[in-house]
Amino acid sequence: MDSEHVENLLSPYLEGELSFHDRTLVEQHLEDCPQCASLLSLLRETTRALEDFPEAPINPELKMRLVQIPEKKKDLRFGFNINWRPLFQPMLAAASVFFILLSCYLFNPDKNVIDKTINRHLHRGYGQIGRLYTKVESAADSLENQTDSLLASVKNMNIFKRSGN
Amino acid sequence: MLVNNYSQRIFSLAYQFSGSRVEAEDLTQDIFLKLYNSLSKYDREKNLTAWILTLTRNYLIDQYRKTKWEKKSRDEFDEYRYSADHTSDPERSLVREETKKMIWEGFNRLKPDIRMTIILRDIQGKKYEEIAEIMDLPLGTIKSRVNRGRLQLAKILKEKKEKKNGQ
Repeated sequence: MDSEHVENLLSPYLEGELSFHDRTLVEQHLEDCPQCASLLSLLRETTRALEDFPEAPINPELKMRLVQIPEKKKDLRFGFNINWRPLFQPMLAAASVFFILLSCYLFNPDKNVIDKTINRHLHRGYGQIGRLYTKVESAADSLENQTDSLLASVKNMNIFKRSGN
Repeated sequence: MLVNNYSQRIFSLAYQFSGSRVEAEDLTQDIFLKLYNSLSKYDREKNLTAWILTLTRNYLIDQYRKTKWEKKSRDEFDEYRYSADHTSDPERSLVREETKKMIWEGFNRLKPDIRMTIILRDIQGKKYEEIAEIMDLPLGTIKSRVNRGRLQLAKILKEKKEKKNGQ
């Protein structure tokens, strides 16, 4: 049996899991191989140390926090379902877009040019609205005139004159 | 109650695996949060303890792979705080404490799966069958991992002892 093979049998040897045959072979090898014997001794030391390893006690505050997790989850779920959840994301998106545009405007080095452009567009818009209003008024007047003339022509028709008599 | 029955076990596993108390506290909280979220998926015919420990083991290994906390050093091994080894022979006790310290420090050099198997078998003293259930692996694989882990730790111990004696 070579050392590499014995190395793999040392752990089961310590746990008493080897067959009688394998155990005898390992023991014979250990008598002649100081390296494997030393490794076995280190393995024993390692497993003993691991068995004695500490169990760190849990902090009572952490335990308290763990108990509170389901309650916190309930509160969170309730609050979000009733008021927030459906609206939250679109509102957040709209607010983000608004603030991006606002910051683009406020921190732009050509802020004056933007102001002028906005003013120009606003004035142009006012002018267009005024013209539109005038057009609507004249259209309303012409519609009224046409209605009057139509009523007058209807009244002058023969059928109404006869029934009037 | 879940917290009373499992918080100590989960915290211990997280602490032994990560080697950091602060890290273990955060991990324990995250695991409980995950546990509460996953309770509806628990099959009542299965062993609850094994199910919880499987979830814990999965979470710890996943987090380890994401954050690679092995690069961070482990907490100082506090022999007075955690040790249960008080033999009548102070010299022998000191050697044992030193060995424990060396192994504790060398623990992060093991691969996460092997480290977890060693913790479950040699520190927590679980049976191979239980570990196979928790790790969701065949019994033979678990035994071979335990074997590999112990050999690695023994070699780390040898290396550290040689380094210490060489100084």
